[in-house]
Amino acid sequence: MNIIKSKGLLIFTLCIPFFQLKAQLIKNTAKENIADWYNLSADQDGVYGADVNKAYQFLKDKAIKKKPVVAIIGFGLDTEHEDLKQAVWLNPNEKADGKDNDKNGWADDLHGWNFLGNTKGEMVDAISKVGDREFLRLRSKYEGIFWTGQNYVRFDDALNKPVKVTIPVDKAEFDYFKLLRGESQAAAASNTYQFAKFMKYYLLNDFDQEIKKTYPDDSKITAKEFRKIKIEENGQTDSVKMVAHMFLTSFMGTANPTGGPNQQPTTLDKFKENIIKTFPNRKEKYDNALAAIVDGRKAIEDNPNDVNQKNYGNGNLSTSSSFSSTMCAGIIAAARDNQLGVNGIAPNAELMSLRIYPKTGEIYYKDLALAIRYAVDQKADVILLGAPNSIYPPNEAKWVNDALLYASSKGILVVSPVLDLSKDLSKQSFYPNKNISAENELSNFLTVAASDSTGMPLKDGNFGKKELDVYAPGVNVSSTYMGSTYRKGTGSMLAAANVAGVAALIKAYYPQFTGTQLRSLIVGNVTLRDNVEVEKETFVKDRKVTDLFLFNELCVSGGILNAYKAILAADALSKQKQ
Amino acid sequence: MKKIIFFISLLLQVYTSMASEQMLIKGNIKSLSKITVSLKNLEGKLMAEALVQKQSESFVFGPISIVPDLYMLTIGKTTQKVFLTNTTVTINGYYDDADPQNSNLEFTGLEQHLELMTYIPKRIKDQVSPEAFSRLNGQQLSALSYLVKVDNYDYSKTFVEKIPVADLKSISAQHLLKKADSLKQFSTGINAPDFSLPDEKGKLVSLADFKGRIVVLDFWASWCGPCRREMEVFKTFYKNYEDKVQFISISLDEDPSKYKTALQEMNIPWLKLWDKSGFGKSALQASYGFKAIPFCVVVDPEGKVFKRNIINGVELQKALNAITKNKEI
Repeated sequence: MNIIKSKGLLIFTLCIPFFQLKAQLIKNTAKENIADWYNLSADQDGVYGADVNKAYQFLKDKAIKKKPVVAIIGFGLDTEHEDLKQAVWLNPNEKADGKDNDKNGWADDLHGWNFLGNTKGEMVDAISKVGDREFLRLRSKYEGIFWTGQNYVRFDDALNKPVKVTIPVDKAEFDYFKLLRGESQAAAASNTYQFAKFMKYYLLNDFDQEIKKTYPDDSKITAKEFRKIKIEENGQTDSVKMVAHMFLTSFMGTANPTGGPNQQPTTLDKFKENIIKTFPNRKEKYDNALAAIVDGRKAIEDNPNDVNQKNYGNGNLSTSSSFSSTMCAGIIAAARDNQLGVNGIAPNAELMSLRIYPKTGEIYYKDLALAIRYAVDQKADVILLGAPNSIYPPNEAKWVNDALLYASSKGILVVSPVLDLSKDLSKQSFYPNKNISAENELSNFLTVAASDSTGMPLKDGNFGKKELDVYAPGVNVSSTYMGSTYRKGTGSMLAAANVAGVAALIKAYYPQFTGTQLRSLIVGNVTLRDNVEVEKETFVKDRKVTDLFLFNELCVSGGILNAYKAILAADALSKQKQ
Repeated sequence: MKKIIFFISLLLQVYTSMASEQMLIKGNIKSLSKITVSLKNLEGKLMAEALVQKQSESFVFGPISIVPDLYMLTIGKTTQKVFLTNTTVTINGYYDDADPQNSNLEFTGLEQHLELMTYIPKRIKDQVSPEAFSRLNGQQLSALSYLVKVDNYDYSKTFVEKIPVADLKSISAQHLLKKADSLKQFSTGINAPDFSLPDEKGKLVSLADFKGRIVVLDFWASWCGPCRREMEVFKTFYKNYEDKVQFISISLDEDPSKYKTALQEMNIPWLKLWDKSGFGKSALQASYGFKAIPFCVVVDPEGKVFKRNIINGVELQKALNAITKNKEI
């Protein structure tokens, strides 16, 4: 059994501000000044934008050859926004008649689909987390089971002692179940509670008997003596016992019966009393954590474990949490030069909205797989994914990976943001990503993180020399916001929208390029920053620190999205092919 | 003929210039759910209300003539105090009823409001910067006084002094005047509240009896250790002022036996009076406005409070030196 880490849990939730808005009260002090600076360029304007205006100077005498379709898999969309409504995709095969005219499994999917809702038109905005769902799925098999180093044990409540687990245990799945502690508060509370049973038992039995051999008087034993108890038996260590002893010693060393400035170290008799007294708290914490798990899926009335089952959700795309996807949409396709709002990168694009992200909770991978397939089937050219997750249940991962392979086979570009958690992606993975299997790397999958107008990476963006492809403008960027308003935002989600916009722009003028080629064009033609030294947050032994990196240590391309250079390269490549 | 035309056009001019001096709020708010927008005055009286929803996102309040002052603007779940004048205000944008902090609204025409808001101190206990009193107009100052913590008389006076009489009719100004009045009792220069309390022998003594002399009122109780300690300190210097100053210790003991015991123990050489209604219940204590003892007040020969809030012998001696030096008795 691995040593249980008693440090604080890291719960990867989408409740962490993955996407930050400037905190605003109901009053503004000045008209929100529009800063769609991704249009600018370092050499002409002194701002590390994506050189979109320069790209348009190059393209001014060319005509677009197709209107690219961009599928935004996210929080929905404000389809009536004054600067966006001309860019909303309209399904040519559906009519607003309550019927599934094209028999694709979704009725009245006019502009995309909302998977978090039901066919009665109700919206679902709060669902559970992946970790919680996995815990609930597997707990009957693995809850309360620990590995001693020699065998699996559990605490038998009826016999009131640890017993060996007799049925065979799937080690891989068991190890996966252990990881859920970092993904689910219920799993963590369960682990603490179940382990506490062992601790209490050993304290009152094995350890008590062992220490009484040397020190018969409870009231004279402190942590100093307790620490010396022999745990080994026949040269073998039961690691459950060992860790229990370790924790108990540590608790004893910090607990004291009196408290206050003149603390007395606690003695074994008082400590035993305390452990017995506080033991029910752990069960209470567990019960509370379980009760806190939201089952919002019930209202959707589908089977989330059957990826082939459709006919759930509805066509309502706009909710109060749609603002982040609405901001992405603006960066991609807000009308240019209409003297209104922001200038989007590819205003000729058509935006398809696929709502799978809730306001609270984490996505279902079934919805993600079906959303990707929907986009592919409806002829999207670019798919913009939402925030990735740290946990990827194997059977559900297969659904998504198969859908991504399907997208790849149809030449579609998939763009994904990173999370802004200061994580080194070579040490920890988030899903989905381009590595869909040990042998297979998707060549049409692009991962993006945010940079600011001075060309520096967003300090807390995830990074990885091989895992992160490119940086793009994502700090204090203005874009379209709910209710035909405009607002600034920060986050790698907005940076990914920039890349999706540039991909759409290339596709509009050079529709022949596949997702793989689009990725090469974008990654290979950036504003190079490779030997620039930058400050970046990272984790060193679980502590967040700020460190210095070279830009090219952080990502594959060593630079920032550059629409102008990518368009030039696309133009040159298109001539070669002829 | 010409005369009549001239007269009519004059009338029209007057009418339009009057019409433009009214408050008008024009709004267009997009919201995913139905919300109510309303305007109330500080006393909660509803002045205007509108229901905003899809297809009906615009609303107008007014034109109405108002007294420039703070008003309560409610949009959905959020209420905010706004300083309004007889001008046009526009409100445009998006309101999120589920999470108001995700709203995105733009306001125009609120320059005076925004200006006065900049003078609200960052920490509640701080006072307003003196700059405010020269930069803001009387109506704004009145509104500002409503929004900040005004808890002493002199501070409240700095606001009242700046507000022209014509502007004192606003609700916030009325509130300020009431506040100033209630604070007055805790200031210096006012008449020290009189009393009629028994001395050791049971004879009733009043403050008025000492008109023409400086009086030290020392509020204490037998159970108050610091009071008794400071009284020992007073003993060391009171003789120096005996000819000009009458020392009076007023006990707030409820328990007569404890009071008597303390008197025996302490041997206080000056006048001792007893307010048996007790600490925290005494009306005399309320009129002098103190919540903790020891508490001493120096009253001048005219019966006005010279200094209050004196809590120890050092401060008392300083105050006595100050008042005796300035007076020729």
